[in-house]
Amino acid sequence: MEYKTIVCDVLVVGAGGAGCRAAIEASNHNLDVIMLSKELLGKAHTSMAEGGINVALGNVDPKDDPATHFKDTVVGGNYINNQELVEILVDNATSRVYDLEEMGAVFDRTPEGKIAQRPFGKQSWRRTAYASDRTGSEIMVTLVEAIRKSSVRVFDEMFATKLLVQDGRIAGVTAIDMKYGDYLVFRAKAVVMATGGAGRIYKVTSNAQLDVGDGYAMAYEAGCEMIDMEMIQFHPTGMTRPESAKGRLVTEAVRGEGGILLNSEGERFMKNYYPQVMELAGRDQVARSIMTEVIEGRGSPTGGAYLSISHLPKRIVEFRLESMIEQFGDAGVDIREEPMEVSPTCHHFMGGISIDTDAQASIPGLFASGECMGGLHGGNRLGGNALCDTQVFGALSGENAAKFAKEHSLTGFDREVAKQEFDRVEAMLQRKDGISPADAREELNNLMWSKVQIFRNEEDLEYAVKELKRIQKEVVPKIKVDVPIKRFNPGWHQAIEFAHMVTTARMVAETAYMRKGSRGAHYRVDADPDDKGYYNIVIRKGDDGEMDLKRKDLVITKIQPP
Amino acid sequence: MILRIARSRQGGKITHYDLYKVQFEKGMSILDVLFQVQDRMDPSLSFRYSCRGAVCGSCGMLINKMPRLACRTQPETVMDESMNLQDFPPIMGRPEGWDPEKEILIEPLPNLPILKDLVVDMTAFYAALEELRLWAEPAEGEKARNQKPDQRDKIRRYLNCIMCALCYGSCPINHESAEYLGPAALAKAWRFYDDSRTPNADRYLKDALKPNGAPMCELIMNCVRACPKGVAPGGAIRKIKSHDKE
Repeated sequence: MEYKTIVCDVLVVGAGGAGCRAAIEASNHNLDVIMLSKELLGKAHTSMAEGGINVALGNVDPKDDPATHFKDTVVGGNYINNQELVEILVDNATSRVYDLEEMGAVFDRTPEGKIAQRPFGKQSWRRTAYASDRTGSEIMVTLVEAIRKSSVRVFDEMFATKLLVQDGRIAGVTAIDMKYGDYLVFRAKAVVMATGGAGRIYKVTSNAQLDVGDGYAMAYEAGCEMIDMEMIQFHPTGMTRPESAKGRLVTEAVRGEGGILLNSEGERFMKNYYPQVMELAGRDQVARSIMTEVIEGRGSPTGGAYLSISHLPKRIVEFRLESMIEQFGDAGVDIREEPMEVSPTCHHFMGGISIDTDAQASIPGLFASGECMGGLHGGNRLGGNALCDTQVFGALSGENAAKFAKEHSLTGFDREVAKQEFDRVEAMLQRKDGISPADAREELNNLMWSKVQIFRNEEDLEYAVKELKRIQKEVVPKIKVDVPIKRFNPGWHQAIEFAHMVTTARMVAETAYMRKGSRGAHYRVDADPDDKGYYNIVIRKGDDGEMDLKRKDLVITKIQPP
Repeated sequence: MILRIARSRQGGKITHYDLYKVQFEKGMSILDVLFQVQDRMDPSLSFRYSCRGAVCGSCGMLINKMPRLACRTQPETVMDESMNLQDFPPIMGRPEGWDPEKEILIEPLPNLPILKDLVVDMTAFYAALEELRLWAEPAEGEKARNQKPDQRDKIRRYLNCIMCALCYGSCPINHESAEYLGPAALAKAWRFYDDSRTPNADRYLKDALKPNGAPMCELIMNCVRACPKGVAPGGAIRKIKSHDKE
């Protein structure tokens, strides 16, 4: 199998908020930096983040400070966050938000001209900086402009499929040029993974189409330690209709600005669950409250709850929630007058590639940041902390990848491994009989949505693990592409993605099955009361090729679990 | 419902049209019916998409001869709608066999080379951003910056641009002249020029007034009609032109 080889100092896999930020940082060190994007540059899921970015500027609540941001993040994460990482997050958030401003980002403002901040769930003060309800889009646009200004070489519509490891060190990745179907090996002294999440393993998700967990699967296969994979955030408010928009995010800013949740009887039901904080309880708590109302027969016709802001002044809604007006307008709902129907949607993976305080994974020379990295958010991520994560850890991973690249020479790679990988993906094109990616994906999506969901139990999880093992063994090797062409063939790309989705799903199901008690987003209806859950679960690929799961002690610097 | 979709396996030009019968339910978008084709009928049909919600700007295409985002276009209404665009060759005429009463016509976005099926090569569109150096060049040494809400509001409209290139694909000048920088880039130039924090604002204006920039615009305003996000690039270009001393 023929392939091209391209060499650089630092390779960044992924071009969302974290990837762009990492590439910009690395390029500041006079290095040759390449960034791979699976879609066109600027189209990454970061642009779909709506509500804002947490930063303890204290512009509207002067008492706010990083220490309070730290406490809120750890308490919100149900005490299983890696507190060393949380310290990095809160200590660097301010500088990184000012970086964004310097790159040109336009935030909303207080009357005196400072960056405005809004309240978000589980936060002591108004901390979330925003650009209306299109904050992620503003940040993405800004980062892309900064990338254009930089010396970073961007290869877009380039699908990285496998990490190459040589003698225990990272060596590069194999990739497919989606436009023409060419095979490539990117060699680098250091690699940053910034591949985002995997919401697409679930039937209902807020995630963009390409968020299938490529990075989790690639890192796992390469031998990285993965952490907290059972912790999946179901955002409480996704759209319920139309069918095509099902799962689309309805920003937490709606509740932050004063929106209330009602059941079919018109009751503001959050008072029965979390009377102190009501709609601004943790995302996991609000999601479970809505689902309980639905299960007990007080749901809306489309199986959700009503979210109403019609009591707010129209001007506020029009100014601060302009995307929501457009989004629901397309579905025929005027949110200034009528309530929205919402229900939980798979939104964020708290878990991912385990990193140290240099953002380095367990393979030397491999770094990770953004959603594909795990441990920072613990059992539940606060709204506004994800964008913050992309900027703080994006910059950190880029800086340390640059340092690593300066201190190390290029390592070789095993041509046989690259060849085998290209043979594997080529075989999908040639296969005559088998299963189509669309059918395989549907089966996986339904399995995860019905068995590894918000309310979990032993029987479902055991079944899911068994089924996923079967899919891995029987379906993955039989994936076929109907039209055997290489040029921009989406069927082929989905076939390759499917193996990544299954590996990711299995990590989620296996860890969820191992954790017998409830903690954070992992809620067991049959929870073992003796399992308080103050530990993390890590996974590695064992010597026998099977998933090796272990409990690991929490990393605590300041706050002890109660 | 029947879709008539332009195909181009090797890129360059539309070689033929394929017809697909799709199941339609209320509330579906053109993107949903394209997924049906890809998942159930022809997995090799190529089109770009990502967010499903008019935020990423990936799925721009020509639908019934109007440049639109597939994710924001409802099949049941598109047949009766018109954008009232000024005609230019790619949006005029009817491909042989197209029955507008019965079929929705889907073609790649005009003015950019076809790579495959509905996927176009965006290089020229992005190159304009490079040519105008559309990035911030802030004053250094400052930390927190100040910007009054009314200063921010002046550029608010232009911030909504999602780089979908519908304006570029709707512009008759872009169709005639490959060198024209196009509406999106010029609107972005105005956004930097009019940003109260920009220390060297004049350079953005000067660049936008290059011969292949705003002077080429004839204020046809197809871009304003086609923009799915209310950016109205034509308005920005008008303002740039008003600063032209010549």
